[in-house]
Order: sequence, then C-alpha cells, then structure tokens
Amino acid sequence: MDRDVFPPLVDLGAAGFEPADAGRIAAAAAASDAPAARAALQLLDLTDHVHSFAAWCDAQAEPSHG
Amino acid sequence: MADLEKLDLVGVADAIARRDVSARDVTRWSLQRLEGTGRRLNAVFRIDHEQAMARAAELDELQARKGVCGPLHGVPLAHKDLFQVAGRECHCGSILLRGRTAERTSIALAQLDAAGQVNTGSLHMAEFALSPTGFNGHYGPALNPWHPDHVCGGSSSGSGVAVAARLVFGSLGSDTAGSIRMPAAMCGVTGLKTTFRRISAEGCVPLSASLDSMGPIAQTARDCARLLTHASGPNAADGLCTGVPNQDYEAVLDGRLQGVRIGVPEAYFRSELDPEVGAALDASLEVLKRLGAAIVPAVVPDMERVNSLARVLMTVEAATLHRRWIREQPEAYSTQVRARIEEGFAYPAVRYAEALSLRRRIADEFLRTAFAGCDLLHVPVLTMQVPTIRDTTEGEPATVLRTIARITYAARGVNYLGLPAMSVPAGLSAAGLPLAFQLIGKPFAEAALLRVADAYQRETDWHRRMPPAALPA
Repeated sequence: MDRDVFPPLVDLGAAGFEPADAGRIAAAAAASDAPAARAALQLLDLTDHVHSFAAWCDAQAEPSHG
Repeated sequence: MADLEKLDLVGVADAIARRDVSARDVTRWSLQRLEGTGRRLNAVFRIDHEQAMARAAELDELQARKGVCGPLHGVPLAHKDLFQVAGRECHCGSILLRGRTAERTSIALAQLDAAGQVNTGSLHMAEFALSPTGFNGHYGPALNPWHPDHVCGGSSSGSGVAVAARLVFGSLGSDTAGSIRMPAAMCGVTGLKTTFRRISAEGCVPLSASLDSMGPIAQTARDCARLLTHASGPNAADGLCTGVPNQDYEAVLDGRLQGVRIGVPEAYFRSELDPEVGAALDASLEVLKRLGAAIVPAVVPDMERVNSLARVLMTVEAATLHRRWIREQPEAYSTQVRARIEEGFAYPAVRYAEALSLRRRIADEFLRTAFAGCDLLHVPVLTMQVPTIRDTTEGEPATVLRTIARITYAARGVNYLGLPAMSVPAGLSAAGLPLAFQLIGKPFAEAALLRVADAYQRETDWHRRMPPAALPA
C-alpha cells in the first residue's frame, strides 16, 4: 500500500453500491487520489486553508494587462 | 440585404447601427437558420421565435426613436442551456430538469440584454456539462459542421456548432475543464475561458462552483472582446463575482505585438503531440513572431498533479450537487455521466479540503515558474486531432475512456489555476477538421490574450473559413 495516500478512498461497497460499481469507481478515483494526496503531503502548510483563493485571484489583477 | 453569413458579430452590429439591415431582418434570418441547419446539426434545444421577433421589433422601434441602445443592438445570439432566462425552460442537457422553468435570468444574460442582444433560444450541451466531446445520451450529439462523423466538442457543444455554422453571431458557454475551448477548437471558431469569477455565474446551473468559468464563443477575437466587455464586470447581485473592474476589451486591439513575450512550454504540453497539430502550432508561432512577438521557452510545473487536483474538486462538487437526484433517479442519468459524478463520492473529505487548500500555493508556483520570462503561454488546445463520435462512444471501454481523458489533457488544469485561456483557429487538417492553438494568461489578463489573438487573426483567415454545413445547399 502507498503509505502517502491517507486517508483511504471511501468504501462505496459498504455504502450500498453494487460491488462492481464500487470497484469501478474506486479504480477511477485512485488515479487522481494518489497524486492529490502526495501533493498535500509535500506542499500543504498549516495555514493554507485560511487563505481564500478568490482573494488571491483578485490580488493578481494588474491595471496594465492589455 | 448583406450576405449575413459572411458577417461576424461586430460586422452585423455595425450594419444594424448604419441601418443597412434591421434587427428584424437579421433575427428572422438567424431564426430560419436555427430552424433549418441548426435542427439538422442538432445544435439547438429551443428556438424562441415569437419572443425573438418581438424583441427585434422593439429594438428597431427604439433605434428609430433614439438610436441604438448598445453595442449588441439587434444582434441575434443564443447560449448554452445552463444560462437561465426567466420564464423559459432550462434543463442543462438533462432529462432530469426537463420542463423546469427558470424564475430569474442569469446576470450574464441580463447584461447582454442591456447591451441590446436578441436572445433567440437555448443551445445543445452535454448532459449537465459533463462531456468534453459534446456527448449527450438523451438528446444525441450535436454534429460537427465540418464533418458530421466527428465530435463537435463539449460541453458547450451547441455554442461551437451554432457559431461555426453561422446560425448566430456569438454565444456564451461555460468551461469547467475545457468546455468552451474544446468546441471552439473542434468547430474552428474562437473561444475564451475567462478568469475564475470574471463573468458572473449567478443564474447558471453549476457543475463545479470552484472551477466553472463563463465565457464567449464567436467567430473572432474582436467579437469575443465585445461580448466579454458587456457580459463581465462586478455585479452587486452576485457577491461571488469578482470585484476587479472590467474594461473595454476592444479598445486594446491594436494589432501590435512588439514587446509581447510568448512562452512555449515543451514539457507536458507537447508530449505525444499529433504531427499535424504540432505543425499548425509551429506555423502560428511563426506568424506571431513575424508580428513582433518574442517567442521564448517556458517551463511549467507538474501539470499531471494539477489535473488530478482539478478532478478531485470537479467530481466531489458535482457529486455534492447531484447526490439526491442520483440516489433517487439514477436512471435519469446516462451511464457515462453518472460514472463521472459518482467518482466524487469516493474521495475522502480530507482530500477535497487538501485540493482546495493547495490551490493558492500551486497557482502561485505556476505563475512564478511558467510566466517567469513571458507574458502568456502558447500551447495546444487538443494534442490530438478531432476524434470521431465512434472513437468516443464505441469499442473497448478502457480505450474509449483514455481517448476522452486525452481530449482535456491540455485544458483541464487551467481551471484549477483559475487562469484565462483562449482557443484560436489555426488551420485545417488533411481530413478537413479544424486545428487550433491555446493562449493562457495570468489572472485577469483577458485583454492580453485577446490582443494577441486579434493580431494573429488580422494576418490569417482560419477564423473566416466556413464549414460545409454553413454553406448554401
């Protein structure tokens, strides 16, 4: 098991999905879940969540973009 | 009367202002085309004949008394079926919302109304905006006007087809992972995905509130500039819309590129590039260089990582929106669309919070790295040629899914970064399908993108080429 990927994906089988569907969905999600989890482990700082992305976007506006 | 199919949005607005044609003439022409070619290409959900002709008559009367009321006075437009119009049906390409009448008009369309548009109806789109090909399991695909066997791109499929086939002069679409740029590229027209929140999304059916960006599709960069100028801007009725003032985007279109530095990233964007796409990209760079732009190498951070984070956000937010409907009426979704939404149920809450929290840091890193030595980036929209409908719907499921994933390879990450990006027509393949390049800018640098695209279009005529379906029978 990749120890960087934690917590694991939600067990949709336990949530009532058909086993085949749960397996298919988990396989699709795993492909994005692992890189996202690793990115968080490597980059995320304790205060990142308090910064609003929208406010950051506005701060990038420059009057002379044209 | 002028050959209206040869006019672009700005051209027809000028013709109306000069009284060469009336709003009623142009609207009647557009409605006929929507009813004929539009229905044949499956580009249209609803045509509002009576309302559109009444509106055109009202505008003609107003012009006779006071002159034109705005820069879009009398221009027939139609929009993706997720922009709500008060009193009219808006089903977002689904059967689930069929028969649902909107109570309010979306802010973006209200602003275009104020600028004088004639809204002629609602256009085809992928079910709940969830397909880059324009796939719609309930209403069938809209057909590519260059070749009906090929996909037209989505999810703003009808917008791309309607502009390319000269049914209307412009359209607003939405872009969550490439949904404006894909149909623009595949239909040979110009499309602009704006900076996150540049155009209000209030009154639009959402897919992923963190990623959805609205924007114009039209024949030319100048047309897009006019639509953007009048559809965007801070609006007190939408607290989520940006507070950054908009500008007159047409005013910056001077055809000059001296001093502009265009970055070309080799890594990622040019891997596994189709040779004809690569040749079109190179040829477009030559034109831009000749116009005075400096073409410089650029480096982009890990885009696979960006794409993964975008996918977490999109699917979790879509799953949140659809959770009750998909539980109670799973049969109301096509299999392909339901599968994409259900993926969002699988991610742990921590992952979603991580993807949101990382966004600012990763966008910062992208700006520092990719734009270190340039003003904007030049990359493909599609790294492959326009696939066939069959390639994206039939055959071994894993192969089909790989093909579909490949379509958004160069587009999806841009939405996570919140950046503006444009699709610009840049050629035709040997098979007769459109080729395009993509420009990516810094936040709120729409004017810079439009300026480069407009300069390119003054030197080329790819955006003027008409697909076979637009030509008289």
